[in-house]
Amino acid sequence: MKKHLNEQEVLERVAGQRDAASDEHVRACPECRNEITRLNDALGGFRTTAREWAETVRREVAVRPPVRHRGFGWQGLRLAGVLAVLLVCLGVLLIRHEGPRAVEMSSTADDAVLERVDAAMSRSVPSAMEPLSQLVPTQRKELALKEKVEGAN
Amino acid sequence: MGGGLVMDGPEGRFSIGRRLTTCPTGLHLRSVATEDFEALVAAYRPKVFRFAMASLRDADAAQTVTQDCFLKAFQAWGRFRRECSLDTWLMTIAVNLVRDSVRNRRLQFWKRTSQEAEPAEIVERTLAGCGPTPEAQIILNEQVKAVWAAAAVLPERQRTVFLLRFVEEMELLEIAAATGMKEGTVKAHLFQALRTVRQRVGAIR
Ligand SMILES: [Zn+2]
Repeated sequence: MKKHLNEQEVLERVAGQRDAASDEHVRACPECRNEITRLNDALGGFRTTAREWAETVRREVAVRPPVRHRGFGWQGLRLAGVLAVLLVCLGVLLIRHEGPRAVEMSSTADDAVLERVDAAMSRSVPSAMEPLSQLVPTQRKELALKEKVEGAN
Repeated sequence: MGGGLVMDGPEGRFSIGRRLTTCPTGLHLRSVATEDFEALVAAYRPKVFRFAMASLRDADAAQTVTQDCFLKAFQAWGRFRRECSLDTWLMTIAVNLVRDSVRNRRLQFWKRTSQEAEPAEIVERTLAGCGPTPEAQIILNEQVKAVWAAAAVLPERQRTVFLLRFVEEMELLEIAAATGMKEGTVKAHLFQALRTVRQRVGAIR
């Protein structure tokens, strides 16, 4: 009998590529047959469990409250908080260097961060709709562009 | 229903078409065969979600990819030339969205690290009774967990090819079409992935 299948030959069989020579060897060789069966069983178990897992998660996602995965989220808010603190610190440094004019600049930057945070907090679109709602700004842009072009004509 | 794509979201059923047809640009949605599209969503959503979930291991991200996939498909429905199967066409969109999602998440330093329901639990629950003896059952469970562990550490392209072949049971040519890779490249990624899997599974006897 031909020597055992090498790794590539085993993997080819597992990937579904078979040829007559390896078929014959596998029929006659329990060792190679076991190796291929073991891998096929593990991969078959993986397929079964991956499908079951995805279905379980899909059902869970369908009943739990929506998560705002595309917005800032809590981590994002934390980041915004850190940014705000950094901006305040920067502002304090600037006040020392430049006096009252810098206070205005720093408060404007803080306002900008706070506005973004407010916007993230007040998002009212359910998460399932978010991908759809994101079309709207694009369409507004398209409209604005159209109006511009028409205005120019 | 006034026409449009109906999907079940966490908030229940909703219609894409009905919302979008009220949009100023119209997006030519009125010409879409919505009944066909509804059937398409019903038929393929579990598959798209499953691929996204296995790739991203994050239910929210998988849900987003699934929704975006059908939204993109809906928008491009009129341009679908039927040069490949619907299945492959949808998976092409899903593969690209998963790739974008992986890259976006890599850039976010607040990226979620928590994973959804542990696959190990599912392995034991789902495969219960598959082994001829309790010992064989334990070994099978461990080997399947080893495949899960291997899939988790595969590079992105190897994992995509591996999941499309072994979870979705797509042919190599279909995977090549869905990923935009040459068939030889698909094979190379698949065999590299299988080598990793074999090493992990081989460690369990
Ligand atoms: Zn042999």
